[in-house]
Amino acid sequence: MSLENCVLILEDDISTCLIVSKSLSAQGIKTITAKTIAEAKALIPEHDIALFLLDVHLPDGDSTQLVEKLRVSHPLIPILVMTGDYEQNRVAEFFDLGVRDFINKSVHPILLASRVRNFIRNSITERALFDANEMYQRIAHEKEQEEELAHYVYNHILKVHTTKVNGLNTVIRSSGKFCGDMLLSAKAPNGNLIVLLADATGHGMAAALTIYPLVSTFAAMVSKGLSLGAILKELSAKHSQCIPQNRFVAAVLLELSLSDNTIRIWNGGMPAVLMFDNDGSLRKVTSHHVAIGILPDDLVSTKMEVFELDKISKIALFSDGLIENKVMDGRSLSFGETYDIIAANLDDPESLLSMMHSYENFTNDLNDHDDMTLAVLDLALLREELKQVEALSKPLPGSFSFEFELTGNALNNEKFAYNIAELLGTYGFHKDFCQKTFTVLTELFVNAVDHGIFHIPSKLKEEDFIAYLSIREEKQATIAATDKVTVKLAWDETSQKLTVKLSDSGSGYAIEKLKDLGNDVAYGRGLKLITSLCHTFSYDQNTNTTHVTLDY
Amino acid sequence: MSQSPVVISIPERFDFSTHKWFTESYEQALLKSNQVVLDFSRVTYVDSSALGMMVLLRRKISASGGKGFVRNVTGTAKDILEMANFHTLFEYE
Repeated sequence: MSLENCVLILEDDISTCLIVSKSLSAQGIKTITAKTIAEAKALIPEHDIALFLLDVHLPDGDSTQLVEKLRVSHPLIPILVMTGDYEQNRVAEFFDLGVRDFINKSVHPILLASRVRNFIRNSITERALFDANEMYQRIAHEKEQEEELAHYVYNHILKVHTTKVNGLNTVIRSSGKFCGDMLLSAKAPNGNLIVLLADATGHGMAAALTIYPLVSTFAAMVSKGLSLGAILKELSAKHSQCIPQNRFVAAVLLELSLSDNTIRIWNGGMPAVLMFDNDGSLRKVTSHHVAIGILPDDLVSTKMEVFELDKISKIALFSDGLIENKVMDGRSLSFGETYDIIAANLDDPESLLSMMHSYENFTNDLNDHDDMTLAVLDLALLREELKQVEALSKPLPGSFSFEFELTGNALNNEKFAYNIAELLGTYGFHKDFCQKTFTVLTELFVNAVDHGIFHIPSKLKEEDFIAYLSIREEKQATIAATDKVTVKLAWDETSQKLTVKLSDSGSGYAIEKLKDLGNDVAYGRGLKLITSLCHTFSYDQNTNTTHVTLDY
Repeated sequence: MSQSPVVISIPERFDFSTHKWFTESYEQALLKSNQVVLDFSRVTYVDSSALGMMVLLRRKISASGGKGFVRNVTGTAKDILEMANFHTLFEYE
């Protein structure tokens, strides 16, 4: 097969054929010639043909039948027909078959060549356009399929990570299939409600994709019981791990704690949070931080604003789509004005959103609207909701007891108390209780090791912490294999008490120290902590055993 | 003269095992500012060594005429700081 483009001339009149092929060759156009339809049919598959130049009447028939075949086999290749005057009445018929143009016989060589060249040039452009369109169709189809998948994941993630909470009303208006805003809420193990409103830069799938990592991190961190500040740090770390540096997520994080009677708010790059006191007065919690992703995560400030929960009746969080680019009666609205409109219409969030949408400045940027999300928190309802969570705390396991015996270098295990506390966590004990147990166990253990075994004077830790540390390090290095601490933990299901018994192989710490309790200078902070965290505390000098109980 | 504060973000466990890290952190911080914020956001577990270390820090801050702050302290950690009357040593944000 010749790869070179050529023009096929089908003409039985030898002299016409010669004139035509000569005039084309003179213009640098290659030609192949056929005298019959059969000859042409044999040549066509062998060549890369750029244009067909056909006579009408040929020895083996009329070229209309060939035109019909060519329209199927070479749909994009132009066909020109050379006609004598007597054939003019057939022009319409040929046009209907798909012939591009006609050339009158007798042919004018230069005119013919120019027209042929023009048609070839146009057909190359057409071809490119056709190819581009085909590629566009394919890309559009692929994009549609990808979006369908992404949309499925998007909806799934939202469904999985959104808990329905009575008193938290959310309305969303998305500018496209994907929403770059996301409102998530989850209850922490301590009964607090944590709400995240996030708004990613841009919109559509890119914005939604920017938010995905935060969604799953948020849910995991809340259920782990992290504080709001720690959740923020984790969100920021996850964002910088997964998302390119030029994409940010503005966010409001909010925590309602019934037990502490607090509302904590962190606002990074979002519109002000509107907060209504019980007497109806409004205050705005404006953004004091930059959006997530702008600062490296170690520089993210976790400074929160804290309010008293029982003084607040209503809170509204919303994305900037509600306040930006709003026009009323041909006049642009200031943020102050849009805040006032929002504040006055929170009783019907759906209508408020439609209203804000109708104020959108359509003339500016055509279809480029921002997503809108509005969440209204009714604190009276939420307080009831959070009370129910408190009542529904997890049932505890049956009774158990563990005994640990640590000797020699095992006494230097700094993670011992921590691991016990984490172990208790796995039984479903409140985090607070695990924290208390950690502190009590650490103090008892350190006391036994420092004073009982290492004989470090207890006052030293208070008076000269640095000297204390260096002595401790020295002693740790020379610990004897016979040095021993025994710890027994027993949880009694019926009395809801955890008993800790701890004894050491040392000489015991002097009981008179305990008499000093209540005086706030002379005794160790550790003992004070133990006595204030425990329900009972006793020390048996004979067995050198400390015995404490913690009420659940 | 008030300087812009330096934030020390304390890990989950603020106890004896943290002392080396903590001491290094606040010595670094005090080179930059006499205002130090202890961010308790991540802190779950606290013991009396933490209190001891905070007292040491407080002494250093006072010596340079600065101020110490505590941020986002919650749960038992908060109870423990309150029991020890640490609000007289550090300002709660």
